[in-house]
Amino acid sequence: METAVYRERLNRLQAKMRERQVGIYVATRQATLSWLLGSFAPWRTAVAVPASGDPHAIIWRLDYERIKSETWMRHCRSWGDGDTFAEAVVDVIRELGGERDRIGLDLGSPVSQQVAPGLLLASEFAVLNEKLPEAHLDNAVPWTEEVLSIKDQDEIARLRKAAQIADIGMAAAMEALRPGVTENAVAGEVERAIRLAGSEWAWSGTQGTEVGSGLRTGFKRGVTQPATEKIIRAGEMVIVDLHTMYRLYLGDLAGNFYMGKNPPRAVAELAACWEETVAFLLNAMKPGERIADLVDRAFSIMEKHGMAEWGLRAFGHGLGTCARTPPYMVQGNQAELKANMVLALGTHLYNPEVGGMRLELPVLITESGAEPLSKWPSRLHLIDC
Amino acid sequence: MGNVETTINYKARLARIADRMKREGFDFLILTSLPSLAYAANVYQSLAWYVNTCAVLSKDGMNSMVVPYSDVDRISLETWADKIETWNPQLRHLKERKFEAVVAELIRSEGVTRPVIGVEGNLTWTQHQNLLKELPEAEFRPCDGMMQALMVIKEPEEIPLMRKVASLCDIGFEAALKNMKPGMSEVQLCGEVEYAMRRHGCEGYWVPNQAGTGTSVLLDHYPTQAVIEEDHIVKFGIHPAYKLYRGDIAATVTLKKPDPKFKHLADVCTEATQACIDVIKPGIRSCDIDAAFRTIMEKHGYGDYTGWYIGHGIGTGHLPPFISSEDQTVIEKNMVIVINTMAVKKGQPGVVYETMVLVTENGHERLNRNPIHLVELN
Repeated sequence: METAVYRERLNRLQAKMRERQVGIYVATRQATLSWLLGSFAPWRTAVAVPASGDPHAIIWRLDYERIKSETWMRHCRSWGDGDTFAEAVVDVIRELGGERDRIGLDLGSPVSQQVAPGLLLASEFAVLNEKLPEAHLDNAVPWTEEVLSIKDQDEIARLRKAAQIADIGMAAAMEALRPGVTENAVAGEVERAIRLAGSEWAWSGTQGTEVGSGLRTGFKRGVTQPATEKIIRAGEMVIVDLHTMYRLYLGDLAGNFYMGKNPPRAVAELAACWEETVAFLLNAMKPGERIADLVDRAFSIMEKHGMAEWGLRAFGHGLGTCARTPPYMVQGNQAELKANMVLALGTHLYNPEVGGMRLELPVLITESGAEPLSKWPSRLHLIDC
Repeated sequence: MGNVETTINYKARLARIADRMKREGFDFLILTSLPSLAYAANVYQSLAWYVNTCAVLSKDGMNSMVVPYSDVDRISLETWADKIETWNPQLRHLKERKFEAVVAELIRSEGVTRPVIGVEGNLTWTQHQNLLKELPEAEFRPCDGMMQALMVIKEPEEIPLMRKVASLCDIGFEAALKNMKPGMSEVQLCGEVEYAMRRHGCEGYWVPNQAGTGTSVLLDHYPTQAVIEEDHIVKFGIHPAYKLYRGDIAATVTLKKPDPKFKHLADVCTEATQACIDVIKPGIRSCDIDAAFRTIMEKHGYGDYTGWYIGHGIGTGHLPPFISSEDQTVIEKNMVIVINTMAVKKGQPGVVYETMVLVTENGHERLNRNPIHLVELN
């Protein structure tokens, strides 16, 4: 059953390769590696996919036995026994007869300045370029993103589970929040809860779970708050941003809290603006909607509230086996939403003098609208203390 | 900036980097790796996993960062860089500033003709191409080796941080032992480890924590929903971060009484591991440590149960020396080395031990109290 799921994905990818006359695609970035391998590959790993036939996995030797035991792929080889990663990739391309082909590589997104984990390094490209002089090396990120951005039912089920685990983590955070506790301790409660519920990794570019409190929530435009030893106090705002992974699919959920039952007016106004923006997006998103229009309309709500200065004109990113994937909910993106896209919907308001609020909410685009996969209420939660 | 709370004498550190740059012929460094960004700029930002971020240093003392527009306030509080420039995508009221263009602007502002610029190995092809376009007159050279040579010897102020992160490893190990029981999944075990470490100040994980259960041992085993059973061996690896310093230990636990053959293998690996730790002192070579381990393993007929290396340096990240039979690195005082030994053969019960060791004036000191023997849970 599992193999059938991956075979179907492979077929979709290979159809796209043939359409684009790509002879071999070499997957190195986390998004496509997890999607193809069905195994977590944190060390340097590649999958070489011919336009027809079976893919070949190229795995660092200390991780070879594990990945080989977990993946459905029949052709696996290790690197590191006298050869480098790039040399092993070249060998496999030759074995597949691709020396003169158009070779698709994970070079970078033309849309996003963010770095997707696992992109081909300059030194690796140099080896491929030197050893495959007749090949045409090309950027595969744009067209592989097209394939990956539409989720099948198996992927949606995994994303749904990752979102459910995220809800459990956020409930644990809320339970742990009280004056005197450290940000790190709250992160620990979250990480324990999501692990107990089946999360395989607290993935993040920020070392794990983010917990920011007080004015640490309000870094202007600040989308990152790694947890620290700072003590959380009454009267502070708190952002918890947690990251789950279930069978290689990611959950991404942020929760917003105020330590007290009666937030001051400035906090209440911030929350009102944020909640209206989130409600608009959840209501407006559906297949065919142009992302640029949604972004402009959502930002206009912040402008209406006089909070444009504190808002980000960015409202989320795709979610799947990686978070550096389309749809990128950013200004000027002319792409349209499509059914079965999944994204971490975002809404960001950060006032350095008041505090901040952040939305990260896994959302499935359905035929008729947007379905939050997480059930965590998108509002400011008040902690009785 | 410049008022950052730190125990590190960063001015002296930056001066050492500048001095080394002059000796090795670099005019500038563009630092993008996790260890170097932490070491040179006091910032957690793993370019490979996140967003374009770098430290730009000059041999004449320029000490700058280029960071995303959306992260500048946080980084301003954390870094000791004198100057922070930001990049941003096209925004309605803000013209696009590309990461590589901002880096190039900083370098050009110093007025050096045909600059020699050090870059690190984690630079992606796309970033490298963009830098070549922005700075066509520059010569780019790898600087990984130079940075690693600086980072492997710990400054006095770094030692307490290494001790603290090592103690977090021990707390994680003890939590694993306390909570491990049949019926628990690998991911649940990691949850208990992480929970315990966070409560003592752990600020995250520099690589994923590991747990693997089964009747044999795999080297790298990332936690899955697999359930620990009464006849299993559990190998786990713990990787906390504390104020940008990284910890790294592993242990092997058996839930059932090991059979004599397995026990012998585990005991020999313990003897060999202790032997290789015992030889650690300034002046010996990395390959001598490896030989001390391998000699005992081979004497008992377990030569083919070992891996190609038995450890690595550690600090703000994974560092040299990579301890193997081929590595001639001379061990120096104030290196911190992770001894990572194994006795593993495919499909058989095996063990992996890993512990952190500080090289002292005349010998060494283990920074962890985790056992380097097979732990029998019952």
